Amino acid sequence: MLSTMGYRIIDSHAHIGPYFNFFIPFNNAKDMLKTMDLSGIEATVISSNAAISSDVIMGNKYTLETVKTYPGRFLGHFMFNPNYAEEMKRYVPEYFKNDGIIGFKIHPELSGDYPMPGKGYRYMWEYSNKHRIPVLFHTYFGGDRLEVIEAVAKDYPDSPMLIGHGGSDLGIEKTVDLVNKYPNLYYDMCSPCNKKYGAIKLVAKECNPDKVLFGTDTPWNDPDLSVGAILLSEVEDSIKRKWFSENFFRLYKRASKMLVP
Amino acid sequence: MIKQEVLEEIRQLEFLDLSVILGRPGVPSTGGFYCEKENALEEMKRLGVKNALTYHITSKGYKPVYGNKRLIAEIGETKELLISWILIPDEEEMGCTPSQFIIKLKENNVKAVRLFPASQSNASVSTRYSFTKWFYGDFMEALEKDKVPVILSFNPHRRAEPEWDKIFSLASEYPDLPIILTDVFTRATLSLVKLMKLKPNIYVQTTGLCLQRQLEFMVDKLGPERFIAGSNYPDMHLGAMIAQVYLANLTYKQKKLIAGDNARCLMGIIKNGGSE
Repeated sequence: MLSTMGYRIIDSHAHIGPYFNFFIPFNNAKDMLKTMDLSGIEATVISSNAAISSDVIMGNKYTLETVKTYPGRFLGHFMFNPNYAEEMKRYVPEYFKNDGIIGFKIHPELSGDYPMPGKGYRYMWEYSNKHRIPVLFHTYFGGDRLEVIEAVAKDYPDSPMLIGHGGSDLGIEKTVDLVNKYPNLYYDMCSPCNKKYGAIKLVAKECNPDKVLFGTDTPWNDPDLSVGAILLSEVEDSIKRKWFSENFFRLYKRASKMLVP
Repeated sequence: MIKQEVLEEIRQLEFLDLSVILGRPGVPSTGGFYCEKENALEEMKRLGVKNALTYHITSKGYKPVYGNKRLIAEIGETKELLISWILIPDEEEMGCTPSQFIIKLKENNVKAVRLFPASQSNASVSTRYSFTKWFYGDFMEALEKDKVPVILSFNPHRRAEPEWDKIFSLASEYPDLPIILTDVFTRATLSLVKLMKLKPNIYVQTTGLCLQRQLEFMVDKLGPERFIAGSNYPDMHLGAMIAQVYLANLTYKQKKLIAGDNARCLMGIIKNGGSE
């Protein structure tokens, strides 16, 4: 089978649960595990859809419960909603006592177009910078520009930052240049860039291979499309291994408590 | 390297990619890539894709009659590549009557016709000709008579949806006309399922079903005969199309239908696409 071509695949960008804006089939943990098995994905890092778009307290709890119920298969991103910065501060230390919570997720778009350098995010950046906890942030056409991302990366040099969706709407070439320039910036090879023929070629050719992590955005996306496009690409095997899991273990050091690197 | 046994399993599914685009577009794919015949053939061979239904980008981005002719000239006798023409359903634009158009399709071995009716200004709601029976009726009637598949793309913005009523009307007016939708329906599963239940002449290209297991979900509701593999290469990767079908939680027979046999059946290349 394609899914057993010898690669170890960790999905570092995914979600779980229903979403208000449209119907998502098979969005619960058991069904997603089946999907992961079919697609050959060993473990998936989730932030619940409830956390990113609804009640963040309830949503983070959903993430944590899933992580605890399926250790080693699901890992968690703590969704930091800057609109509730004070409440978030109370929860962050508590959540990071759990080995399965391995990073932050922020979604400026679904947090009301909240700017990344805004006051509400400050505590999170400082915490991430102090403890070197990765932050995966969503990007989109209407969000913060690459210049803003660059400024944040400079302000928090010990905070590892994953540019969500490979900055697809910001210009993949420019995003790759930025990732190559700053040691704490990483490229999130998550939909749509990991399904696009030219984007895969471009990232393989231009981006530091040690700074690209694989993600699927499941269940918003079908992981087979993302897994298949990269597995069946002409990208060198050694680079595929880095994208699929080796870089993940280097970046998400907390994950080694849950998975054998 | 792709393992030989994997390639062999892919080959056995006999993929026919419904949407491969040839020619130099105004905006190339990421990295400046666009696709000529040789690029398509090389990638298809590398990944075990048997056939592709092509169209020329100038048919869409310049003038249908020009691009359609150019496609014929460029493909020549290449048996792996099949021909689809873009139609603006108007005699003035196409330079022929509907019946003459049908004759041309047969003479040139054209397997399907594509419609890109959306206007540049607002693809979700606005069309560059009136997408109604009084405008397209004569051509659609001729196509229906010969059961020529019509591949319909509105190309709305990625978070928008095509106007459902336009699709519903076309499918209602011409119930024997096979209509294959190629837009992205990530956010529209419920509407799409209901529409396809109501209109059995509607089919969907697989890469429009991007949600997790959306393909399997819809096959469960509607059967495998309604789904057609298609990549939109060179924008998207052929591997994405292949893996979505190959790794699906479906039976081998269902996968084979979706991979290529449904399309071949609709295009009259094989009889009886078969169903389980």
